[in-house]
Amino acid sequence: MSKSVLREKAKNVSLVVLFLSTVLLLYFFWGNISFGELSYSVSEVGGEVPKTAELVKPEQITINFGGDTYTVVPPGDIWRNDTEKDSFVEALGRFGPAENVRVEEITEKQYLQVMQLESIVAEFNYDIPLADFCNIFSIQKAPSYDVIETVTSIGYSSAEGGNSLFIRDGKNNRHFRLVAGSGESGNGNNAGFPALIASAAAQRYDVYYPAGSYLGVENDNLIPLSIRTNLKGFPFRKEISSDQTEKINAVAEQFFGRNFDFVRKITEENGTIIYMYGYGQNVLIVNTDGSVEYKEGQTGNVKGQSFTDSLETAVNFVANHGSWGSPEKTGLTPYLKDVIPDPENKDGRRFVFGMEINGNRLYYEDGAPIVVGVTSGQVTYYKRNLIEFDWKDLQAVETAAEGDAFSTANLIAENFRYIYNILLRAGEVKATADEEEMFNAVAARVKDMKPGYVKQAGESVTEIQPAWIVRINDTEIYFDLYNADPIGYSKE
Amino acid sequence: MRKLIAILTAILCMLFSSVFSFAAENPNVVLVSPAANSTVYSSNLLISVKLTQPASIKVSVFEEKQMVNGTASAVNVNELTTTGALNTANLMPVSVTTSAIFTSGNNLSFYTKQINGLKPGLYKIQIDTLDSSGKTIYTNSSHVIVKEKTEEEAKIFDAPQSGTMQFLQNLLKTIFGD
Repeated sequence: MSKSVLREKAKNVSLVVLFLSTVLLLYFFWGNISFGELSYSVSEVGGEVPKTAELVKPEQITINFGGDTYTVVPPGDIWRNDTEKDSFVEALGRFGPAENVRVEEITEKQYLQVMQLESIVAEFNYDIPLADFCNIFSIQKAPSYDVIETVTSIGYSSAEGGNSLFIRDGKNNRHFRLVAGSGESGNGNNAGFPALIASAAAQRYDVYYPAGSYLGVENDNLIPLSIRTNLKGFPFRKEISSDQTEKINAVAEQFFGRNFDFVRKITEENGTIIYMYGYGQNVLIVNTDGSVEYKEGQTGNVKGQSFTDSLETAVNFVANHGSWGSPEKTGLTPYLKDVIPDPENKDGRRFVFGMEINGNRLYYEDGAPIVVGVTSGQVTYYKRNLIEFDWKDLQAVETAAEGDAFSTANLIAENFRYIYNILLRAGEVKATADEEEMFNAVAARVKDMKPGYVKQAGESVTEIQPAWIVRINDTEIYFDLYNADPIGYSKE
Repeated sequence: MRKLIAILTAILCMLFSSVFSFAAENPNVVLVSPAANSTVYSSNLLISVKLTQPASIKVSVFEEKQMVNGTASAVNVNELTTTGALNTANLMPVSVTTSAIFTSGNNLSFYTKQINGLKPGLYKIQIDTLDSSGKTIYTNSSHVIVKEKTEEEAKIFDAPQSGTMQFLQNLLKTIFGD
């Protein structure tokens, strides 16, 4: 073979290599794949991934038995259960048929009027886009529904023959009535809701009245008259401690891969450990309070990701970075507690996940168990602050005898000065020495009161406490469930 | 004569003292619920009493009955109005539940209780303030009418629009807002 032929072949090979390199480079640039993403391979540990329908739960379900008799229940089985029967979600699915549903906008006054009759309504802490709501709960969506942007509350009322559902769109402060055609049962196939109300009435339930009825002020928010409960305190451990070197390394591997290429590890004097990739594009902080915080530079550019898609992105990320755990093993059942806009005003949302212990919600004085920020289709923020505890401690709680919780009205009467000072520090009230004025201001602002568990702030705290959670505006104030001593508070 | 005056004075004192002890209301005891002379459309009644001084109170609920042909019967509540003054002269209170004693050492406290299973009628809520020996020193009372909600449900919604009109209305609202 002559030299010239060899030269030509070398040129051809070079051309092929150059062509392939060009294709590869174009793939990176047009496909928006960062080289940083290829620098380490993150091991995916997987684990149980909860369905979005299991995570999206109302804050509470309010039932009006008619005749001004109310109760408020946590979502639990009444909202959705594994049998897919005798639940709110199942009754929603049967409403219709969707093609015969007429959507009417109604006034807030009309909405409140129908809820004063026999009714049941699920109230969420956040606004769910209607299309996502129907998608998550497998509800047939008719084109006529498009006028409704979000669902914040959804419920049934016996008004006008009980052939309607009622929706509050909290984002736009609009109210809607969905009127069904006759349906098989003549009331829009709505028979599931009266059955749910009757079932709740047949069981022992806690009676609720408007707060103003006890306290003598203008306040229509429902609070319980009294409750019987067996919630007890129990010890807990942090999911991760700064002295658990191997565990911390295993956690870091989930974010940066096993070889830790281009990753710096910094241990601060107070014990905080920081892993930093490159010049700070990706940062993992293992705090001494047992929380893990991760921030990732924005590389994704998905525009206008839907609620469901971004929630699934968040859920899968958690499954691969620390796991959701199994309620049977951990005793903790996750739920979507809140959804807030991205604090940096990027295109995305921040999902706040709470935890339930045996159906009772666990409140954190500082932060939340899991927070995931999804912007432009990518997880850019993740904070995890979970607890662990022994099953035998929980079983002791489950088997404890019920007792009377502290009277709700007297809790406010004994603590109105404490609550007023919290509101004063938040700038929500003005300073006054008039105690009657202070009491009236607090009593008129009580949004709800419910029992639950509280994890106090502070690294030395080792026990979860049973508590009354009093919500005023966006502040949760915690009191001992049995003697009403203040425990702490949390402001969103 | 002196003896007669002394006896009359003693009788008057006793009469006045008894009148005052029955009539005087404790200003530090307020019945928050039910509102005085109100009507409740439920068989369940919330009682909420606000105390603005440390006190011991006895809360009693009576049904006011009237004698009809020699038997005590429920008052016909349909003939009563909450706006007019109640004529209680011919009424006979019958206890509904056992009186409850509530003691508070705080300057602000509430007694709350739900009374269940009430039938339509006229009821009296009586709050006696007790002294340390258990003797009544003040009496606050209020009436409430319990009725069944038999009135025809008020029409909340207008007649439905045609599907086309509703579609057009929704379309216009979507385009132009409210």
